[in-house]
Amino acid sequence: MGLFDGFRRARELARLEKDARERPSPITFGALAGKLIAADDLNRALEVVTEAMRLFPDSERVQQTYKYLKKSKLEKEMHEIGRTLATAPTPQLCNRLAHLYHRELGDLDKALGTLRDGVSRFPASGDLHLGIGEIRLARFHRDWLNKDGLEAIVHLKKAITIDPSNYKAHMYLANLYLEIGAVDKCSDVLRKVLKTTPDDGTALELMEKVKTVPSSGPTDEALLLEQVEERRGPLVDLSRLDIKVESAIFKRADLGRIAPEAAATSIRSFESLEGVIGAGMLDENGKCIAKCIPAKLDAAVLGEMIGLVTHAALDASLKMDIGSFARGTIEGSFGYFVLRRIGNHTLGILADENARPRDIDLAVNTFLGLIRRESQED
Amino acid sequence: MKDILKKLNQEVGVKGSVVVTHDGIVVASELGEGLEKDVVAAMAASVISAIYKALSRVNNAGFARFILTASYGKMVFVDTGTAFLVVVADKSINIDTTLLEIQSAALRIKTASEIKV
Repeated sequence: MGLFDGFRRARELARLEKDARERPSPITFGALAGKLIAADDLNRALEVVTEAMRLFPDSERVQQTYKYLKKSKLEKEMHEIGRTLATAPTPQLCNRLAHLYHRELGDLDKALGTLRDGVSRFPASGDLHLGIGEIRLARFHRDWLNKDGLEAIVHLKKAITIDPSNYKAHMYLANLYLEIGAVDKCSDVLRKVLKTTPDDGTALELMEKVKTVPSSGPTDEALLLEQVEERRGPLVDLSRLDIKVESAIFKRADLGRIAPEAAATSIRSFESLEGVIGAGMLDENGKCIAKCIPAKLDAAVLGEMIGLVTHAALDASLKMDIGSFARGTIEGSFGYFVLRRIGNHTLGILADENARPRDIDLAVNTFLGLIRRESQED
Repeated sequence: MKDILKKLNQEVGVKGSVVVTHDGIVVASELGEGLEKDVVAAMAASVISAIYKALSRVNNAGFARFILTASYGKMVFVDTGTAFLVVVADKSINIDTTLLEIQSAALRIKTASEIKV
């Protein structure tokens, strides 16, 4: 490659950096990252995409690029592990691969799949059951779904049955019981820990906190988890109890609180979208908190449409055990009906056949950027 | 039809697929571990019914495709004329490539149904 090629490339990169800085969007960041990848500067590309993930956490394009870059860095190791797993599998290898999927790539689904596969081959491995428990806990803390909580309890208990000295499994289980309000069960688990290690600071601290939480109401795990799912949050907020726990696992889900005024202002950004018939946002109670209807469409009709499909999609996602419904696109001769979940709110955009899906995506990202800014200024 | 679904399931990230009528009757299915035919069929019928109901508020044309993305997976519903092809997949699939395969499978299913009739 000649000197002039080098100059041209450097100039192009500078232009793309400027673009990403002045007009931040998944596309401008994606273009910059793509150029850096082509130039084999994977480290810088990863920095760029990590910043893009921070700004546009819902962008699939950004997520996929991030995973690609992370995977490229880990490719050699993951390839070796995969090869060895095919011929000489061990629980440790399964765990290592799952760890890479979970912690490095953020791919909980693949991590869970790897561990499930491992457990089917090594059902007596406490570490694999602990691994599944951890993944299910991470999912639980993101979406607060009943099934994830139940599965976490099942696998953490299995890990403890296989190895009664498994400290991590005990503490995860104790914290989970406390979060769902199963105070007595939490105390039982902590007592077992303290029997083996009476000086354990974390267990002692948690035991003190447990004493401040009233023990009343249902004790059935399934019932308590149903309440958590309905609430979309824990019955006992550990952060309020000032308990130091492993932040990676017990990070609270961002519920995306949206100020109605911010939504009402920001939704006007859809007016310029070609083909738009109407855009609306429903809150967690199904009430329309913002709308923008340039064409002849009854706002109540749009609200009903958003509610109908969201309800069915949320239910379907739960039944298929694929987490929480995040977004949906319906296409037909009528045009497009696009839905996006933001915390417990749903944004819905109805557009005719003149609209382009890419423009709708851009408009949604613009809206999300505006709403975050407006909410911060509030 | 089962062969079409088997081939589709070989796509990276596809966990299972089913052909189901609008009211939830399974025409053909090839589902991976953890997916139950009756549950998938009932879920699909419910989603399809909700979408039809929603769209009937503005038109009666129905819909061609619905892509649902959740935290840890995707589902794709494609109209094959007399039924819907429903595919359950990982979240991390390359949607463009896999969609092409799904559309292709839907077209083959449509053709196969028309020939039968």
